[in-house]
Amino acid sequence: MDELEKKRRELASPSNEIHNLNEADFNDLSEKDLERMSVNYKFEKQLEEAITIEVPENLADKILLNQATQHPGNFFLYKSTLSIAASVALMIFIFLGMQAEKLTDIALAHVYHELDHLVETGSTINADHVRANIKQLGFDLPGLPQNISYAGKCTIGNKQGMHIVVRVNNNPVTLFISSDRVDDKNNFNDNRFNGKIYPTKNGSIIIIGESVQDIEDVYGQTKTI
Amino acid sequence: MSTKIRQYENLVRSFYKPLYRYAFWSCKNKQVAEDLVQETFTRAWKNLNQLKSLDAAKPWLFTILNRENARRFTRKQLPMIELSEEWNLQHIADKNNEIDKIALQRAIMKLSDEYREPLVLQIIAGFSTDEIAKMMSLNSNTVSTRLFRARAELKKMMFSANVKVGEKNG
Repeated sequence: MDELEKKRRELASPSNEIHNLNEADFNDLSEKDLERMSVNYKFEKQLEEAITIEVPENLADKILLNQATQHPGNFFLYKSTLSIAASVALMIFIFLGMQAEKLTDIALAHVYHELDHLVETGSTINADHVRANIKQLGFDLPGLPQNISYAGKCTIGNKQGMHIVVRVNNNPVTLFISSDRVDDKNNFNDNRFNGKIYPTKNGSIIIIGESVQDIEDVYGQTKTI
Repeated sequence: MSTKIRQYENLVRSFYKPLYRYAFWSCKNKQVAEDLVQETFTRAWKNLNQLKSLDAAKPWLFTILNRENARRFTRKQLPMIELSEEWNLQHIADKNNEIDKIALQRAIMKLSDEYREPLVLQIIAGFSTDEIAKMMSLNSNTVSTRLFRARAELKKMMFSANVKVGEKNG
């Protein structure tokens, strides 16, 4: 590279000129060059700040969601973009705190954290698509209720899983499919929700709802796995 | 999760920010910029098998975005309300922005495309002059000249803006 070429490149990339200086070069700089470089450095910083505009929150999730809805066979389904940020936050929360918690506690916390999914939206998700995605987790749920109002991938019990909300007797019932396996079938509850967890060949299924009858109905349909 | 999905998710999370910023400065509209990034990744998904290595991902994605942006003008456009430059400036300028930063953003908006695009590619994505030349199908010397002139134009506009402010206050 000749001097002219070098100079052209320095003028085109002032940051490089500064970064490429070694200590010896720096000591040889004249006052005038030092001042010029200082002005350039300040301007480059301002330029970088001005060009680096804010990026819309959740844009990455929106892109992935769009891809998921266009290629449901390859991606897990998402129902609501609004829930994505909450899911990510919850995933981190669960990941940090899960070792001390039982899977059922984690599942209950997940439901409370995403109560929005229990609200009737008036639209349903294609059950075949949801089942196809469940199969990728190594599960088969031929008895999955048809009236699905939400389905999304999630991390539960430190393993990849799926969060599904179905409408049973006009009430929302949440199903978590987790690759974490429990030993036995078990019932649990808190002040608001009742739940049932049971083991399957490749993990466990957790059903949570306000009505025990609704839970039993879903269990009756899905336990044949 | 398949390798393709994991690779795609990595690409999205690694590059959506610089792509959005570049898209914004190319089209000067936030919504169009978001659509451009979306379309870029949709096309990337379809052609993911063409990506030979992760090192090649960044220029590959920016090239796709450039093509998508160019394609915008050949597609049948829906009627659009033309938004003024001022409107866009208000939208990129949050309340924490200093006056100088807003003035500089205004000046960047006013640069011609041939100066602004290589400058944004260099600053946002850290592309070298040669990489920009390859992406824009230009010769490296032309890119160097445009990068130099872009900065010179900006300094001139900033100086002129400062003088005007000084005159008004004086």
